[in-house]
Amino acid sequence: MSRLSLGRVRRETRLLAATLVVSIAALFLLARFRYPAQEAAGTATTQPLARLAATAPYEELAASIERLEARVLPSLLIVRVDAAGTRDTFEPLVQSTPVDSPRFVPALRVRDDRAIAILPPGARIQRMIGSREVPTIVTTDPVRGLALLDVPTEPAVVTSVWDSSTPLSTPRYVATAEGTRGGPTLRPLFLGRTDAILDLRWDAALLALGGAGAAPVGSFVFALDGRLAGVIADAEGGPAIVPAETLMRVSDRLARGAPLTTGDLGLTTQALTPALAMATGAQFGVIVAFADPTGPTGKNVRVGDVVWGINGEMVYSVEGFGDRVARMPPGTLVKLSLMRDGQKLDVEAVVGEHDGGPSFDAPGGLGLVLRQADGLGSEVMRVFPRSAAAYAGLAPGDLIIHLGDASAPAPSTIQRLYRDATSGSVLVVGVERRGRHIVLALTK
Amino acid sequence: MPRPFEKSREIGGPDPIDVGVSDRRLPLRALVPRLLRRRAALGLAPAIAPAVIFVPLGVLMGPAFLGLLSPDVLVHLDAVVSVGLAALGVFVGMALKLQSARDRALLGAGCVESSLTIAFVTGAVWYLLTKWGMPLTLPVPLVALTLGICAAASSAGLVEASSDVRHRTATRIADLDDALPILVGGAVVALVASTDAPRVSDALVWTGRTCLVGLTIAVAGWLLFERAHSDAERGVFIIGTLVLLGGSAAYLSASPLLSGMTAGLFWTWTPGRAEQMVRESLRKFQHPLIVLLLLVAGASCRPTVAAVWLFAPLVLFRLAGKLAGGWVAARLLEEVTPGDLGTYLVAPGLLGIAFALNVDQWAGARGGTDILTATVAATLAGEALAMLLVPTKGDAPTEATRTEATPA
Repeated sequence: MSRLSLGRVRRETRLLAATLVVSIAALFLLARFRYPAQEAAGTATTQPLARLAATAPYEELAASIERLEARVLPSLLIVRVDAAGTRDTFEPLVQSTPVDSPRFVPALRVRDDRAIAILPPGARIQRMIGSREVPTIVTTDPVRGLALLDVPTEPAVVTSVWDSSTPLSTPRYVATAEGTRGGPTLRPLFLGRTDAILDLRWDAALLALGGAGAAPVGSFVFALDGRLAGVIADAEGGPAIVPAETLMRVSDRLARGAPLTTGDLGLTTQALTPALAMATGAQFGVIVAFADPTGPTGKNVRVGDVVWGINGEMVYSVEGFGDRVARMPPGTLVKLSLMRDGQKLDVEAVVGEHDGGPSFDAPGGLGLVLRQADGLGSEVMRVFPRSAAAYAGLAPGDLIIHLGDASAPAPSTIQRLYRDATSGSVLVVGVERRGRHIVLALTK
Repeated sequence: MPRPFEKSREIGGPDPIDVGVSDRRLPLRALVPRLLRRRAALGLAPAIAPAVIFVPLGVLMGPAFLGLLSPDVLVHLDAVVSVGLAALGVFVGMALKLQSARDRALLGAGCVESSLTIAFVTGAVWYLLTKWGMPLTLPVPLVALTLGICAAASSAGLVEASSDVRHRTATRIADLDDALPILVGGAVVALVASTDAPRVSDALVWTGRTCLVGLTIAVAGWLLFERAHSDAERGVFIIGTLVLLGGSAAYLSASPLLSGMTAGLFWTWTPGRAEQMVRESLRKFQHPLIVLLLLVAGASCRPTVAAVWLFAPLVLFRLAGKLAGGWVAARLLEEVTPGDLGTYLVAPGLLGIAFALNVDQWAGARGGTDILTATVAATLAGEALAMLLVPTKGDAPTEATRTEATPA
């Protein structure tokens, strides 16, 4: 009998040992897998007996948002960017406010140690809400403003992505994830209608939102079932939703380290006003305000030309033209359709590389072409877009008569003072503009 | 001759349907022809676990196939499901009749075994969910604990007159090891059903309230049916009490299993014939309720990717937890537990499905359906594993074992 019992114990112990070994091996094997993105679950159910009773629609919406929070908030981070990053539009005639408040921008964790966010031009990250570590910008797509951030490592929740083959039917409610000083927050956004508009920067159809100010640019949009619908970005005519698939495609490209050089034709353009249209005979397009003589179009294009087409596509706005050019890789042959002296003509040019100096890739750059005005200071000949000078509000034709401690600074003095300034510091610029004297703040 | 180890949970003890069943511990070669000659072939006898028959039938009748149990029908069956869960809880509570020191030792063994299973499955699933990055609405620890509780239930099969004492003891432990999961499950259901941020203190308070509600209804019901003038009147009172147990628990976002278990425990400990009366009354409709639970569970399943991912670790770590739990319990309480207790407890029974169904009622779209589907699939896989692992009669010693040598 004792032999029988002993045999039974041995069998049981052997079985247990084998199961434990297999379990531990399986545990480590299974832990190596990552859960794939998948279709999200449907709408949540309520309590068994409460299902038979009606509830107020707004309470249901609030409950949906609450359930959504539990699903999506773990994948969201909030970064605080400095004041330089809050001025995402350049309005030279509007005096910049002396003090800009910081802005809280949502970021979506796409990998354990990576997140994506749409950052304002020139933004510098100050800190991350809820963490002592400061995320760094790994790389930025200069055209779209999408930044890949290096964030503290945490297990990333897989984000279910809205399949763009299924239209985002409207009217419907979605939720936008926005940044606050306390962390991410969700709020419902009613979409009365969404119209697909082709956007050159994203090379995809965006969903134009009806009504401006629906949600801040950079807010992530989620369907109420938890799927990521996209992110709100600036587009011609107002904010639009960049579809999630497009967003993920671009972020994958960023993560793979694809080259991010942008094209440049050496042209500065401005919008066509009715008076300029009458003078040039063009009905639409953008007028050339400056053509860099050493640039790709220096010999073919001159100031006053109206660019109304590029590679056979119509040009309607300065932003559209700039984005189209920026997306072209350097070395591309491009055909510009011009209106010169009332006559149409086509010219060809090879796209150059944006030296731009200061842009997303070089946020600390001054971005000025200056000419010395003896005894007076330096005259601004050209301001590179998205540069520190552009954000300060400097414009071609301005006369810089004072910078920091220097009066009537020469171009070399301006360059030196800006170079020697510490990052984040502000230089006071005295400017004479069309007979008026104004003061601007130049932030490095 | 009285049979002290009657199985009294899923099938409620020896009744006409259970009598004359075949022994599923027979080799497969002999089992199949024998099954075909019996009512087991139609699922009318528990030669095969009821879940094996009725859950696939529920899947077939569900929205994915025939659509007889459409989503609308399932919503309206929720109330009946709650009553069925309360009935199961009553059975578990009445099984906790501890008449001797040996019974208390067996309860200890059951708690050791079930707590180890819960710990194994919860820990493994928690670790994997963290690594997988699976998108979940419910908190990861809560999902892991829910699956742990679903895995903790076990069923050692029907006891027959010819069953050896090890099998009888294992069956008794299988009945007793459900108490701890149901108690912990009461807190889990409160957390799952909460619309606010889950807090453990609230869950504990709600667990206490659930027990209190169950106790109150049990007292009220007992006062009624003890004074009934006829069997018919008594039956109506008992059924009414059961409906009240299930309905109140559902209304209060509480666990019907826990409130039912509390009531069952009260009726067992109450002097008089309360336990006997309730048992006799419940026997009349226990089968329809259990079949309904299994059909609804099958119809509510949805083969999602998440369920498939949860299924494999649930099966594997449940097996590991049961074997380890049985191994430890056998050594801690070796005077009352058989050495190969774990292998007897591999069969999961239906309490895990019942608990998963309860969670699905509250958190269907928040991951409850995934949990239910994974649990149902793991239950079927567990039944298959049990056929391979549970010692057959040929393996079992026919003489007295150490368990038999030290009767309480």
